[in-house]
Amino acid sequence: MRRKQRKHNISLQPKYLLYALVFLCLLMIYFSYRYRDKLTPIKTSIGNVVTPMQNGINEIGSYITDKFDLFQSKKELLAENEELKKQIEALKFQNDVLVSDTYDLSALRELYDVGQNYAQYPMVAASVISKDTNGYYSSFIVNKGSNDGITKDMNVISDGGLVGIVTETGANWSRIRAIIDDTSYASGMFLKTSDTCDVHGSLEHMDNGFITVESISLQAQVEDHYEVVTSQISDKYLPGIMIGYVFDVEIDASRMAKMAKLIPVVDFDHIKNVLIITKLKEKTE
Amino acid sequence: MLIGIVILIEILISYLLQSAVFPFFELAGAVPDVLLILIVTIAIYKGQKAGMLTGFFAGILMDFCIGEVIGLFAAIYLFIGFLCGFAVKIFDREDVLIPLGITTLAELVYCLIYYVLLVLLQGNLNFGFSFVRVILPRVVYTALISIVFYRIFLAIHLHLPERVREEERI
Repeated sequence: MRRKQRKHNISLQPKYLLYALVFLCLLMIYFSYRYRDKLTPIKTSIGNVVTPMQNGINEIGSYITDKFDLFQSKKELLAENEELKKQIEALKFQNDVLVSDTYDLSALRELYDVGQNYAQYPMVAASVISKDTNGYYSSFIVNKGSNDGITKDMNVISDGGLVGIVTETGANWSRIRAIIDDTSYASGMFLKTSDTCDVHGSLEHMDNGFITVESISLQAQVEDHYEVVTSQISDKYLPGIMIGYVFDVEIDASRMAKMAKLIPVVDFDHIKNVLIITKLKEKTE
Repeated sequence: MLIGIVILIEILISYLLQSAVFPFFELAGAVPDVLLILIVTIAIYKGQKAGMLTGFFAGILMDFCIGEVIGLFAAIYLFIGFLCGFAVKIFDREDVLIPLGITTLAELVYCLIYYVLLVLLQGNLNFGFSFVRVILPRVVYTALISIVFYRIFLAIHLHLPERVREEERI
């Protein structure tokens, strides 16, 4: 039976097969776009099969890279050690100064009503297991999903700074879009002056180590090295999460607003582990 | 039938390699396209139809794992499989240069289609930057890796048991 069918197939010219499959693809594109919501279970189930494999490979991968790192020359480490010891001395001194500042800070915070620090939010730790490999978009997959209580739009932090936001979840994986992604817009705020701004990801600028901050009011008294945190008015990001430091503040081409460059506190090249805040921003409907 | 299963397994392994293994060995921020190398190999060795089907299923897997809509990567890879399938006429199992050239061209075509469909239409008009930063490293890396992977994939198909290969030759 099968053999016969195959023979029949052989007489089919490749170009007709091409037409048929392209047509099928177009149909699928149309339907998957149209019924995007109903697609999630299928995507999730495929993700559930592939992700454990990626997870396993990843553990082996990080094991190997860790071993490679161990071979880093001893000299380098010793020199670094010296350097760090010096830094510790300097930091100890700085710390004393800062400790006294914290008293002021907590008092000011209460006044300022930023309320709780994001350290108090419930969090789930996850590790990065795969990336979008097409090169343009900065999104990656982590090994925790809805089984761990993760849902879409949860905020992701690492190194005490904002990494991005969960855009999709499966049972044991979720996809995170980083704030440096071209399509990412986060509403931010200057910690010192409370002026709001838009933090816009950019792959192009990220090569030079920064992303852009737009729509800063012309009246805002913003200077270099000011901290930007997520703002209260953001609809998805919880308030008060550190994003980074601005520099090169200037008036933009439209002359209606200021723009600046921002260095994120998170090192996006070396993200291995992230914390997902399992508290969603309350929506005002 | 059996050959289909073999190719499906190869697709899965290739995808795992490019999504979970090669990110550890990035060159200039690029990850090589192992799936494309597989598609080119199958297309050169077995012809257009096998190339197209391999591309189609590889694309479907990509779509389900990283795509926004289903069918886009499938269509791109399908098209690549079709184009590369023309090279079946000049296939020579000892030759390495022609597959290398075809893989490079195919990756370039893939990147350009991807750029136009998923980047340009999203409003990123800086082609020069995209080309130097994303496309070029990816093409070069894929071409380099293809020298090894082409041999591996071809060896797998040349050494398959007669029973599995026979079926396709009818």
